[in-house]
Amino acid sequence: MKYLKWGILFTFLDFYIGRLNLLPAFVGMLILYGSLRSHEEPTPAEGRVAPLFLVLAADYFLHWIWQFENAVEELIALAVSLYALYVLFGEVAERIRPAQPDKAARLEFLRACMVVLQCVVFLVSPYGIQALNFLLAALVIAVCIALIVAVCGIRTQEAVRG
Amino acid sequence: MDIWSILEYTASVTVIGLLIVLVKLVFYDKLDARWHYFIWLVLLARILVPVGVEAIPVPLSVFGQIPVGRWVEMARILAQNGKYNGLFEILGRVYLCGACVLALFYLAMWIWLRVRVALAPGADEAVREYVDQVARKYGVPGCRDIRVCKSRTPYICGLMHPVLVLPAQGGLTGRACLERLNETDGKPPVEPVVDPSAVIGAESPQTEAGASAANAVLPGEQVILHELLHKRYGDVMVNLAVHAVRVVNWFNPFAWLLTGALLNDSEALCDQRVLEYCGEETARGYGELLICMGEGAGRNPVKIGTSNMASSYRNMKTRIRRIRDFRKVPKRIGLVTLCITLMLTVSAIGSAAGDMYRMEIPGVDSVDDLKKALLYARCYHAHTPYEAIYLFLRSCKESNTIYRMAVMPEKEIPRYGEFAEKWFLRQDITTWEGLSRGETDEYPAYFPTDSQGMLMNYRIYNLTCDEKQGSATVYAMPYGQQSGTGLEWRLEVTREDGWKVWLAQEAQTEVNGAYVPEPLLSGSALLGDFRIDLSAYNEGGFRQLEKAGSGLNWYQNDVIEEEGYPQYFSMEYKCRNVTVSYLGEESLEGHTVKVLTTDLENQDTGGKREYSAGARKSVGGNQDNTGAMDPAEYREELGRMAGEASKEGADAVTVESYGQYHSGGNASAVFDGGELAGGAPRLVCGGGNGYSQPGCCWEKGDRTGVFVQIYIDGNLVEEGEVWSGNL
Repeated sequence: MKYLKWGILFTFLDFYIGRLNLLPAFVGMLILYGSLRSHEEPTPAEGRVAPLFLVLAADYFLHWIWQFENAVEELIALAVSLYALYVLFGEVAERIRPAQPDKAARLEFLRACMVVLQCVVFLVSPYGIQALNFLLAALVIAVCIALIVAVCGIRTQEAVRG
Repeated sequence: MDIWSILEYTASVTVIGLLIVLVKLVFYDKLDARWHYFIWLVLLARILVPVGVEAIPVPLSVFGQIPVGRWVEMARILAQNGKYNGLFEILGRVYLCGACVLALFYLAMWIWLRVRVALAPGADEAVREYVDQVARKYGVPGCRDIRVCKSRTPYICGLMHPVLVLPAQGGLTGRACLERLNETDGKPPVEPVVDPSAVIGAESPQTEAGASAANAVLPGEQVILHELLHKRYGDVMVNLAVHAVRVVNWFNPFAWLLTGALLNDSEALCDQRVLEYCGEETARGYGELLICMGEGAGRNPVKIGTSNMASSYRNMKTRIRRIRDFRKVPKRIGLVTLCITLMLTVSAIGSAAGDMYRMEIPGVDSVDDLKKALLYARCYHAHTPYEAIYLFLRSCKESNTIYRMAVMPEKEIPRYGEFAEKWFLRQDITTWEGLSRGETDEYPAYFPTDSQGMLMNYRIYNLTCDEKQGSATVYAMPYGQQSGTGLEWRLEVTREDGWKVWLAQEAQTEVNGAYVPEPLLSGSALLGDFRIDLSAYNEGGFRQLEKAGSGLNWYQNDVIEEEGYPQYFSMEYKCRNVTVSYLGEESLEGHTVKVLTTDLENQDTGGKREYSAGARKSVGGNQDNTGAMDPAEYREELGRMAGEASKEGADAVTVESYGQYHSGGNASAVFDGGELAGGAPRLVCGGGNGYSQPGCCWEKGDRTGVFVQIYIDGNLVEEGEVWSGNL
């Protein structure tokens, strides 16, 4: 779980000092990969989605060290990251559902919001409607924070047993 | 036949198809057959949206990154320059012939198939009953017309009246395959459906396993169900569409590969649907059934207008893998797959958002570099007349022949290319007129004369255009100067491949005070001895051109990274002036003349904030309240006014108001009678609103009017309406 929390923090938040991002996304992806691999009995979905986090880590690392733009690469990376995070949160929800069904439901709702918002931002942002862009940005930040809070609120198996 | 359009179209289809294949590879075992099939909708969208139509802006456009259109156009230009036009015309005809031949071939195949099926005997009652039982068992629509024909596998044929065609001999599965199935399952042998005339399920067979035979999933059932599902979901239409795409792209091998993959995915989805009906436990048996049907099939070409369950063995691999992965994809994945598909579709048909419009021009060190840069520029298409004028003005400001090429009318391009090369080689001259000095004037005015390049500021007046053409007036004056000598250019904009600009007329002008252009709308009226003139015009500008440009670095060694070119004015002002002239013989010396105007079109201002005459004083303008108004004076205060300007009305529009208005669209001016002597026009009110979005300013055909009241010494002497007419 701690991997998951740190992974989300690095993935969703950016903290810049000058041009250096102290919370690079590629570290987040590696941590999330570690989170998936840390399970004693990974589910088939986890097993299949784990390599995607490595691919994303490599891609984000390239962007971190070398500023370049490639629309096709960004498009595929966006699709992969949406899918990977969606599946990740879904599997986390499935794992905690027996003990914490409400948290599982909340997590699934938030992951759906995240995906829908990303899609809406993608479709709407080129029109330059400032009020709408501002609203969407606020919603995205709110969902990210809610996801972090939801993940942090998950009690581990040890805590549940205790 | 325009071979270039076909090449661009097929290239765009190929690019999107390959993108889809790439994405499918990434999600190979992570998403089910349903997504792997429906992702081809992205290709469908690309096929349906005509090339060159800029559908919707997107942040990530595939064709912004892979500009096949531009590459094809460059090839076309190079072919024209190399005088290969004739060759490509022949290729166009060859393409057309090939497409017609293939279309006729498919048509003949289809007709032959339909005739063969129509002449085939109908299935007997037992087979019909069997098919109906399968349909009822799984709750799918059956098939009324069942024929028995020589074929390796069953198939559905026909779009409007589908026919289920069953193989005439060899059974549905083949006895050997069935025996293998039984051995593999380790179950007691089940009465095989090798003879279509056998009735299965209608009565209990006599074998030991027969008691469960009625409810067992017999091999024949899955095959029949597979075909019935093809019928239910209209896969024959997909088959026809695929063949249509092949006809159009007959010469493109990628198109054949991509459509083959699409058909395979169609079959894989149907396999998944069969397993959804029959149950996951039948997956293994179904997979082995497919292998049996594909084994030894060799090439089993797809027939037009049919479904094809047993494609060649090579394609079975993907289908078997999909069967193996049945139900192994994550649950509730529909939302994210829908979003991914939507984003890919939009990226496939959308164009890069406006702020991405720019040319990437390589540095120029030699004539060859110049030719290459000019070719790049020629393939850039200005998207709006505003952008075209911006590029023209930028070329003037920086004396840049490359920007000028981007908006040069097509018919002038060959000559302009020579001009640009000559200017490049003549490093001793700094203005283009030097090319013609001492020679005959062989070049038209590609650039204005006497342009001081980076030292000029530009205001654009009365840009009006329809879908095809338009015009504008540009006033250029030295930077920092408000009055004096300036240059007036009349530009014509036309739409070809992108918007082009031509300098139709140029003149030097001398103005006292601010420059006021020829009005777009004007009108006048005589009210007694007073003449009221009404004029309206638009004024726009580009913020990017208001700084002093780096005009002398035409040619740089490095690639010039450009910002996106503006698609509209940074701000466009809708200006209107009202002037009064006294034409009477009687002197008004010593009298006070007050002129009041009420805006006839803006009785309801809709929330726009107006400034009173009193507020004008606080702006820092003239204190004499004579009504002499300098619109330029207000423009200088726009920074402050913008902060106070009304943001009501259109949310996307920034409104900046200035002018001597009272609230409610009224204005007034007071004159000393002596000022009106001589009949010279005096400004009653002038000003307007600025907008940051297009479409808010005056257009030809608009009407504007004011109601005027004239008071002399407080007594109303004249009143009336003044309306504008078209120029």
